Amino acid sequence: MPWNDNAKPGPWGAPPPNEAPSPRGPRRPVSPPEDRGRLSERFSDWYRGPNGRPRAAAIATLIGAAVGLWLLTGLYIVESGQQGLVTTFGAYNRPAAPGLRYHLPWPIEDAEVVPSTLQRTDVGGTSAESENESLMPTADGNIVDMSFSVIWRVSDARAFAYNLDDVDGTIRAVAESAMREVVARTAMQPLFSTGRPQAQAETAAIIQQVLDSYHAGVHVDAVQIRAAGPPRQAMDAFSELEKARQNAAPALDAARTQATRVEQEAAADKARTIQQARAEAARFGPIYEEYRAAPAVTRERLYIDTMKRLLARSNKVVVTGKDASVTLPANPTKVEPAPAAGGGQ
Amino acid sequence: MNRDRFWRNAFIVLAALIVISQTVLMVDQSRQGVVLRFGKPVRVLNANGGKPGLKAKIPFVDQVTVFDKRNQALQTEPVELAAADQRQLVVDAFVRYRIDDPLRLYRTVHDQKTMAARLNRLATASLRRALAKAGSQDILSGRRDALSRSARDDMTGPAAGMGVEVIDLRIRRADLPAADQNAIFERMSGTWRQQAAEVRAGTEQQRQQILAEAGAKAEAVRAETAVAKAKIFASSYGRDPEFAAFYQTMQAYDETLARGDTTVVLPQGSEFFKYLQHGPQPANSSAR
Repeated sequence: MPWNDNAKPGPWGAPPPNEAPSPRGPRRPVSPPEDRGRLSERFSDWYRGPNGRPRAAAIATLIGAAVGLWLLTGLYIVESGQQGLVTTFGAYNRPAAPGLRYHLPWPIEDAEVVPSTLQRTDVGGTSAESENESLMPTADGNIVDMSFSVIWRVSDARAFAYNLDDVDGTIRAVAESAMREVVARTAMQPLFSTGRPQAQAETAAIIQQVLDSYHAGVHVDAVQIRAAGPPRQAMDAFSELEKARQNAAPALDAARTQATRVEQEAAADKARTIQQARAEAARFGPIYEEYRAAPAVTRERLYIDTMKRLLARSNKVVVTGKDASVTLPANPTKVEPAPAAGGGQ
Repeated sequence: MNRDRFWRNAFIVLAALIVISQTVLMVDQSRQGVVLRFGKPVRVLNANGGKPGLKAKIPFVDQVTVFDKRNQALQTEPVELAAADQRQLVVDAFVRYRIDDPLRLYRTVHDQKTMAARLNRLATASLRRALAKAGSQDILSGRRDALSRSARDDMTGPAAGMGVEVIDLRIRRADLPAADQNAIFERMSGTWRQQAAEVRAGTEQQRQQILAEAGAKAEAVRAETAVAKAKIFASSYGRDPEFAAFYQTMQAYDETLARGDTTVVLPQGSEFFKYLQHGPQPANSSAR
């Protein structure tokens, strides 16, 4: 809002007192002093009786209004997913279910709420306070980078509210300690793969037992390992190994595919070759019989048939003279065979 | 006159309020107090079986010092120590404690801050004592729980001396110093690199083996093929090798030359053109 803009007066109408009066003449303030004076006069008239002393009724009304307002401060809301606790002079008095609730106003009674839904506390990872928070030594002398979450809820609101200082911090510290204990007696490889459920269950059990010994009023629902991997400093080598492992299967698959193809080709070649050989042999059979019956004629006929087929489809150059020479076309492959001489086969 | 009376009433009300605030006090569920009469502790509030809530005391004479009643945490400074096997370790622990006897606490160390500082020193000393006898592997893994408990038991007595109950002492972290950690990272990297190389070499070897086996099998099949083909041809062409050679040559001409793009130069005296050259007398055997 442009407070100093002369064209648009401020929300209270009156320009600042040190400003020059506008050319349209002085503006009237909305609440002129006379009005305020009249208001206080009217209050005075009501408050004081005809003899100038405060009227008892007026005093009672004022006190009543103040007490009423004070009583109203005891209204409060417990939202769903919360539980309320009411204290009387600081001492626990009663629980309060979700809804619009009332307690006697402060300082007689007071109320606080605790969550009754699932809560989550993260350890390690992006929420880590220091890099070392998530680096945990394993049983086999390695170090793993662990980040996990504790899923918990309030099981005893009263204990939760009054027994522990900083419940979230406590859960975090206990969880880290428990996870380190479990990791320290587990080998690295299981933590990366199949050993996780067990580590989670063991950690949850330790956290629960410790929190119970503190009377924290907390139930641990689960511990979830969000990430368990090699530390940043050894990540490159680990990725290299992972890559080598991942590449192994496809490489072997490709090799097997190629091997199968080679074998199949050989088998197919065998089948085809044998079939061709048989067919060839089968064709030779009758011709041989013919030849045995009439060797010269058959021989001649075979020769002539072949030459017929051959010459029907070729460019022919017949050299009849002993010294005759022939100039062949520059590019013999381009010479078209005589189309009329087809039908040799 | 009215004005005087007003001020007198106001003074009375104010005085009453001051007296009430000096007489009545609220003790919270999670707090406890020590009542001091002329600076001398006389009784406790919400402790030793007392209840929280509204309490009274003698105004101006009694003062109340308030303490926390809850289970509280105390994080120790990281303790660098040498385990029994001379390996250096950095141990981080936390202590859970509760002010059990505020009266004793007030008498011995007077306030919570002093108590916390003393408790911290106690915890550190107990940790050192408990862990000095243990090997680094025990601290890092195996006997962490038992060692924590022995450290806790060690500090229980002195802590109780100042009215503090030690509920728990837990080793949060037990790490090797940075240099040793880096050595471990190096070793892990080395192991993984070596494994990666082994995996790659193994894969390559397996790949070669698969291909070699397939090649050998295919070679065997090709040999079988050749044998089978030879057998088939032997049983047919073998009946007259000379005619078979002629027949096969004719076949070969057909396959290789009769493609349509061949220029055939036929010399004089070609069998095919014998009639073209010499007319229709019977062919003699010399023409062949």
